[in-house]
Amino acid sequence: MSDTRAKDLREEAALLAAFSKGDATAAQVLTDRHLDPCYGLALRMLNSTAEAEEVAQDAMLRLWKTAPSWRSGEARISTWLYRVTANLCTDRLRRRPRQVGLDQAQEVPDQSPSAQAQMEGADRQNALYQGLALLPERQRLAMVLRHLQERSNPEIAQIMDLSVDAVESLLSRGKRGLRKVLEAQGALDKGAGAQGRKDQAHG
Amino acid sequence: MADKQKGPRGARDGDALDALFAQARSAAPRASAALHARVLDEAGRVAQAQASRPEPSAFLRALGMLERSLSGWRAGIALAACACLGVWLGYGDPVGLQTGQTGLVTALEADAFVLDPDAPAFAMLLLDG
Repeated sequence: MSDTRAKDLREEAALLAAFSKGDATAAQVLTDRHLDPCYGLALRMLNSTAEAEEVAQDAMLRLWKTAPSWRSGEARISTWLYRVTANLCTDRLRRRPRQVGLDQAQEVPDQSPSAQAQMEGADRQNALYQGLALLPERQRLAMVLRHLQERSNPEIAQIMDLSVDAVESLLSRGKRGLRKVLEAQGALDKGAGAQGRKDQAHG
Repeated sequence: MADKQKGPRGARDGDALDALFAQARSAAPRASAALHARVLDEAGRVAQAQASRPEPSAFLRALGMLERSLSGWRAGIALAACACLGVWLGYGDPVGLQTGQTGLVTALEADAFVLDPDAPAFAMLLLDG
């Protein structure tokens, strides 16, 4: 284990220990650090603000309850929270009625008057989220963790309890599936590339 | 793997897809202030409940440390079972063991293993060298 990682793990364990002794500042720091990523993952998995809020709140509650028995040096809080959030999302997705698969989705005719116009700006983002929502659950989870939450493949493997090879395979299939959907919707054109590069240059 | 083999069109689409993801990352969703407040409120209640819980005794803490160092309760149960078996073997009446021993070689059978130097076959062997 590298020194930096060991130091981070010690700091996280100290924060949780401080929280369980009633330190309100520790709770604030942990919430500021971890709530947004949990919420972001849940939102992209569930596509529902209300459900994502419930899941993120539940995941954080589990962290508070686990704090006194947290084993220092075993896992990062972020990895643990992503795993809890992913499991909570999976539970909710399994309770939902079955959604339209990738193949059927491509057959749905576009009834909007100007499909191309809808692909501009924010709508292009919506197309991406809709495309992600059409991927099989595990591919979607891997894609969101990798490309939106910017987690490394080994960390995704830890979160999903898979081998790194299996994660790479999920990502490869996920990217192929997503590209197919976005191409069918006309969301993958030069505009997206140009806009993205402009955003990256500004960001 | 497929990504590594993509042609010019695949590469262009890949760029466009990466650009879409980059755009999405730059507008990452943030939890609302209300959600922040709810999470912190729950944290306060949990911390209060944890603080009001009595501290475990030194014995229980030591037991917990032992349990953790033995990698969980399953290993603890296996160790306890082995210890009980050891005590039982050590203190128990070894009747079964004795019966087994005498059952294998009785006094009568033991005579069969004694070599008789007067036996003719043995004498022949001695002469032959």
